[in-house]
This record gives sequence, C-alpha cells and structure tokens, in this order.
Amino acid sequence: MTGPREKTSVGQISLIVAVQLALLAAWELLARSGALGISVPALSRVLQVYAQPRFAALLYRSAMATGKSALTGLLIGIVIGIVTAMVAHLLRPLRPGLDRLAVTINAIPAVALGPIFILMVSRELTPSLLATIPVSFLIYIAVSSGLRTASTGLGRMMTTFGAGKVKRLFYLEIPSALPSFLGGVKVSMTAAMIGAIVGEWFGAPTGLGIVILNTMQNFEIPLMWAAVLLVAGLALTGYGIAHLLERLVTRRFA
Amino acid sequence: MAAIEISNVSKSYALNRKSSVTALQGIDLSVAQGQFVALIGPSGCGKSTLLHLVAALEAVSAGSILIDGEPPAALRDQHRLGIAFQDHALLPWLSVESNLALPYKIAGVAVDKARIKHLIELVGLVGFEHARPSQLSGGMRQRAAIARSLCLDPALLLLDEPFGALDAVTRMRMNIELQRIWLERRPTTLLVTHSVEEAIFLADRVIVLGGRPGTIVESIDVPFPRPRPVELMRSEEFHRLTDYLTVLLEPSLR
Amino acid sequence: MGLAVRLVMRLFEQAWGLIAIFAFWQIWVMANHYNSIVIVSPLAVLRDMALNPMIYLLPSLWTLAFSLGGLAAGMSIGLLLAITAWRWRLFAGTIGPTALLISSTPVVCLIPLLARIFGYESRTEFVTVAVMSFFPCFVFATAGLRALPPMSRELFHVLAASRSRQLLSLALPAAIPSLSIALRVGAATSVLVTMVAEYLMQTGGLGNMFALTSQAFQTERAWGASLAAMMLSAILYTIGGAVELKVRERFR
Ligand SMILES: Nc1ncnc2c1ncn2[C@@H]1O[C@H](COP(=O)(O)OP(=O)(O)OP(=O)(O)O)[C@@H](O)[C@H]1O
Ligand SMILES: [Mg+2]
Repeated sequence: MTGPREKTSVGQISLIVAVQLALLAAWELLARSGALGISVPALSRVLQVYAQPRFAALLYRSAMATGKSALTGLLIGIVIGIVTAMVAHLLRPLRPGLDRLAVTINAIPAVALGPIFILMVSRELTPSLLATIPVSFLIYIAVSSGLRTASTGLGRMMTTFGAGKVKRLFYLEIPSALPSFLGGVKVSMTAAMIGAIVGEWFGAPTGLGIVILNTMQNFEIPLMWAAVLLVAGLALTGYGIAHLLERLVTRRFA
Repeated sequence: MAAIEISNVSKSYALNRKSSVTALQGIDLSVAQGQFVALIGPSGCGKSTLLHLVAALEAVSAGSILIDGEPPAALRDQHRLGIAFQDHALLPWLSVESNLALPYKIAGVAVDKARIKHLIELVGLVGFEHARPSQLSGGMRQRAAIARSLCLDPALLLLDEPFGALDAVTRMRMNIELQRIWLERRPTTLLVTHSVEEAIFLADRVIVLGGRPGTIVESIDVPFPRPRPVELMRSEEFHRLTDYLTVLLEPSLR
Repeated sequence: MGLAVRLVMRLFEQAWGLIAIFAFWQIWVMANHYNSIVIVSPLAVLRDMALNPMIYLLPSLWTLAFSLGGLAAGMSIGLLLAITAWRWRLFAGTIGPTALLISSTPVVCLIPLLARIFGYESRTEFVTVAVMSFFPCFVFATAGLRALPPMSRELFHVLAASRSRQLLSLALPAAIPSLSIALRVGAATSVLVTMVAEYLMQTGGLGNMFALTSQAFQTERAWGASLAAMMLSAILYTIGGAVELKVRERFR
C-alpha cells in the first residue's frame, strides 16, 4: 500500500455518528409532518410500541418462536450442508448430481413447499424446515467451493509427503475451507430468518411473521414497523455473531 | 534525464504497536544524469524499499530524496517515471498490447502504436501481442513488464529484479538486449538484481547493500567502455570484479 | 451404441438426485392414495403443463420481467453506491450502517411494509426485488473494487494515474468477477422473491397464479406454477453460472 495506512480518525467517526443521527431525526420530523404518508409512522411512535406491556409481551413471545425456528433450521441446515459437501468432495462421481440437486431444491418457491411440509410433518415444524433448505444450500456451496480453494501447490506438497485423501482433507482442505464456510454461515443467518417467517405464514400458531401479516391486514402500522425492526435486529445480531466468529477464526488461521 | 540525490535516508516500518523494523539506515547516494546504477545485496536488505522510496510509493522516515532538485512525486506527476516490479504487475484482463498501451492512457497522451510494436519486437514477444498474461510463461510476463516500463521514454527507469524468473541463457540474451535498449536514450537507471555478473555487465556503478538494517557497504565504478560485448564476461578483469563483489556479499567464501 | 450408453451415463451423472426425488414423490403419492386436492403426483403436474402451455407462458413472462427489471435496478444502485463509497471513504462510513440494516432485514418481511407504502401494485414487486438485489451487489462490488492484482495499485501510483483513470482501468475491471457472482446469486433468488411478492399482493405472474389456483383447489396447476418458477430460477442460475465462468477465465 502507499504511504501510511489510512485510519478512521475520531473526527470522522463523530461525523458518521452525526449523519446517522441526522437521518433518524429527519425520519422523525418528516413522519410527524405527514410527508411520508400514513404508512410510515414516526420513529418515536414505533419505539413507544416496545414500551407498552401488552405489545412487548406479544413481540417477545413471537420473537422467541421465530428465533427458535430459525436457529433450529440453521443448525440442521449447517449439518446437512457440511455432510453433503464432504460427500461430494470425497466421492467425485456424485458431485455433478448433488450440485444440480442442491440448485433445484433451492429453486423450489417457499410458498409452494409450505403446504407440502404442513402435510408431511406439522404446522409447528414447517418454519424450521423452510429455514433448513436455503441454509443447507448456502453452506453446501460455501464448503464445497472452500474445499476446492486449497492451493494446488500445497496439495502437491502434501501428496509428496505421502498424505492420502483423508489426511489431505484434515490437514489442508478443511482449514482452507474454514473462511469460506464462515462466510456461508454469515449469509445463512438472514436466509434462516426468511425461511422461518415464510414458514409461519402457512399457519404457525405464533411468530413475528404472523404478527407482521396480521398487522398489515389490520392497519396497526406502528406495531408492524416494530415487528419488522425486531426481525432486522435479530438478523443483525446473528450476522454480528457470525462476523465475530469469522474474525476470530481468520486471525487464527491467517 | 534525471539525477538523483539521496541524503541520509532511513526507512522503518511499524510491525505492530510496539515494535518496528528498520529497513534502511543512513543511505547516502548520488546518481548522475544518465548513469546506470545496479543495487545488489542479500535478500531482505532493503533494495526494493529503496526503489519504492525513489518512486514516491513510500515516504522516507528520515533524510531526503531529490530528483532533479525536486521531490520524487514531481517526476512521477510528469509521467516521466518507468518501473518494472519484482512481481510483473500486468493487468490480467488486458492483452500484452493493451498492457503496453496503458501508460499512454494513464498519462493522457496518444497511444504510440509504432513504439509499442518496436518494444514488443525488442523483448521478443512478436506473435503474443494479443495473448493475456495468464497465457504467457513467467519469463515472458517479465519481458512484457520491462517493455511497459520503457513505453513513455522515462527519464528515470527503476527495475526490481526484472530477470529473476528467467533461465540463465535467456537472462544473458535479455542483458544484452537491455543494454542495447538502454543505449538508445540512456535514461538514468536503478537496477536491483541478485546476479553479480548482471550488475557488472550492465551498470556504470555497482552499490552493495548490507543487511539489516540496510546500509551501503561498498560502491564501485565499473570501468568497461560501452557497448560491452558478450566476450567481456569471459575476461580476466570481469572475473576479478565478480569475485571481489561475491566475497563482499558472502564473506564466508573468502 | 457406445455413444448412446455414454450419453445416458452423462445424463444420469447430472440428474440422479432429481430422478430420485421425482421417483420418491410419485411412489409416495401412489402409495398413500392421496386425494388430488391435497397433493398431486409429478406426472399429473407435468401433464397439465404440457397440455396448457399458453396458460403458463404469460404469468411466467410477467414474473421474469419483474424479477429481471428489479434485479437490474437494484444492481445498478448497488454498483453506483459502491463506486461512490470507493471514491469517498467517508461516504462508505456514513451509508454503511443504514445499508447493513436494510440488508439484514429479511426481504420477505419488507414486502408487507413496502406493500403498505407503495400500494398493492406491481410496482411494489419491482421495488421489492430492487431492494433485495441492491445490497449483495453493493457488498460484492465494494470487495471487488479493492481486490486488485498484486502491485497494480503501486503501478498506477508510479504512472500518476488520476482517480477516475484508476476507477476505469483498474478498479472496475477488477470488480467484474465479484459482480458476476452477485449477478448469479441475485438472478436465481429474484424470481423466488418476485413470486412471494406476487403471492402476497396478488398482482399477477406466477405467484398470483399459484394463489388463485390453490384457493380454487386446482392443485395440479398451482404446483405447475411453482414448477415453472423453479425452472425460471434454475435457468437464470445456470445462465448466471455460465457468465461467471466465462468472466473468471477472462479476468484472471
Ligand atoms: N510494507 C512493509 N511492511 C513491513 N515491513 C516491510 C515492508 N516492506 C518491506 N519490509 C521489510 O523491510 C525489509 C527490506 O525489505 P525489501 O523488500 O526492501 O527487501 P529486498 O532487499 O528487496 O529483498 P529481496 O531481495 O528478497 O526482494 C525486510 O526486512 C522487510 O521485512
Ligand atoms: Mg525485493
């Protein structure tokens, strides 16, 4: 790089914070003046929703349900994705078929899969299952491309030392696939939330997806915004955790 | 042409918050206009660093560098600097020809097609004008990079181990070619190399750097008249100089 | 003879997973004697599609147009923002947090919200897809603009290249492989997101067709609609993949 590394100064950080605050203030003022129409409430009105015990309890219960579905889907999806990617990696002839299968399953519209899952398992489990599918796909793609990134030079070096397929997998390919895998986990966070919420639309008893849909139909605009912001917050938290994990691991393996 | 005045230059890099590494210390060097200077020294003694300082890619930590009485950035901003890096630095998505046209485009002057053709002939890449770097051998890439450094008829030419990737025979041929090209316009030149023979064959003056931190250990003038024939490398005088410098580089050979 | 066997082998190698799923589905339906209102066999769905191609064609084109249009708009905005952030570092810092919030909000949650703001109209489909594709493009483009070939930055520095020259000759070409990944990923999902939007707002296209036919218990046709969406999505993904491969060959 040229010259000393540019760093974000304190002045710049405060400017960034100021701009963010100005944006929020602009939202508040514009919404209050009515310029944004009836569908965009002022920020303060959305925040007030969280303070009302009745709504807070509803949102808490729903968030727990959605979070649980998303997390279950995430974990199952990660396991399926990793196992499939390993199988495809070790048994080369299966790979083209698995690739195609993964792409196709991921291409099935969630709105069409929902009814089948309700029939096959249950209303309660449908959100988790719908979250599992995109996560398995993303993890499969991330891990299998990660396993392939191991440099050919290093691979040759390992082979010269007499390492077999399995040794190579553990000493070279899995470590080289870690960053890619964690990148996959990061994007899976949002995907799992999406799956869980669409799954709830097919008649799960509770969940943020239900709240959003009901409030949309009943014109409870501030509650709808509060629920959407909560979903965003949950997804962002998951994303943040995955990001920290990634930082930790890449520091170890870099 | 340009003259370089380096006085009492030091350069250190911060490794982390606490420690730093001193790459160069107290370098004094003055290069006359049109002089060809070769820099040799053990790996990591700061040769590339010195070149980067002259190219205004990095700022000195102490001391000063003047080119024609001005800071190095001035020459660069007039587009009168030619450089070939240790790593070829060709753009992978452009053909050889387009890579050579790049300096003209950057300088905002008309592309000199005839000169590009001439340079491609000079470095022996005829027939590969439309090949992309990934389709060339390592040596061919470096030859293309050298041709690119000569495009704009630079007043100051900086070459960082340009022949490092070449086999001995091609290297010798390129040395002879480089001398011929150089004699055309005699730009002031700094050449970093690991080959003592190459340094003596090409340069008016050889600077030996010692590590670490990098300091100037010896500076000798090469007395041979130009143009220098290949037979020179077999002469008694040439061997005497080679031995002298080799021992300076590796005292255990004494 | 040998050629035919090889061809069949090739096909099987690519499609064994799909064949297995279809076989499983057919057998499952036949074994359970399901009522065709609840669940239909794959053969029945394929027959309906083959007999009434025109009924499927128009909604497919509608969905395709909205997903591609939204994708193009979203990706252009993402690229423009990435370039702006590349040019002015401070801008990157100021839009970063907002962009992160929008992106991490699952886009399907935004559909009800966007529907409230923009109305139950087809333009909302367009906005939804644009919002969905803007962020991945922004992220990939931002990373791509900085993924320069070794020493090329130094080269441009030595040649005293202007900022705009650096953008045109170095950063943008370097970002093209990343952009092609964003395109491949975005193209496949855009169809699915469009379909969800159509399903919720019942504006038109395959999502609308799915909603109407499943309410009318025309289960074959409903599944036919989602099969059509699947094919569109898979085709776009395959085209995107081919483009990405070509680009990767060309740019490294
Ligand atoms: N960007 C940098 N950050 C930190 N240290 C650096 C940096 N660049 C160079 N150094 C250090 O400066 C010293 C000199 O490096 P330099 O690249 O100039 O060596 P060199 O003489 O060109 O070696 P070689 O012949 O192997 O190319 C080394 O110890 C290196 O670790
Ligand atoms: Mg060096």
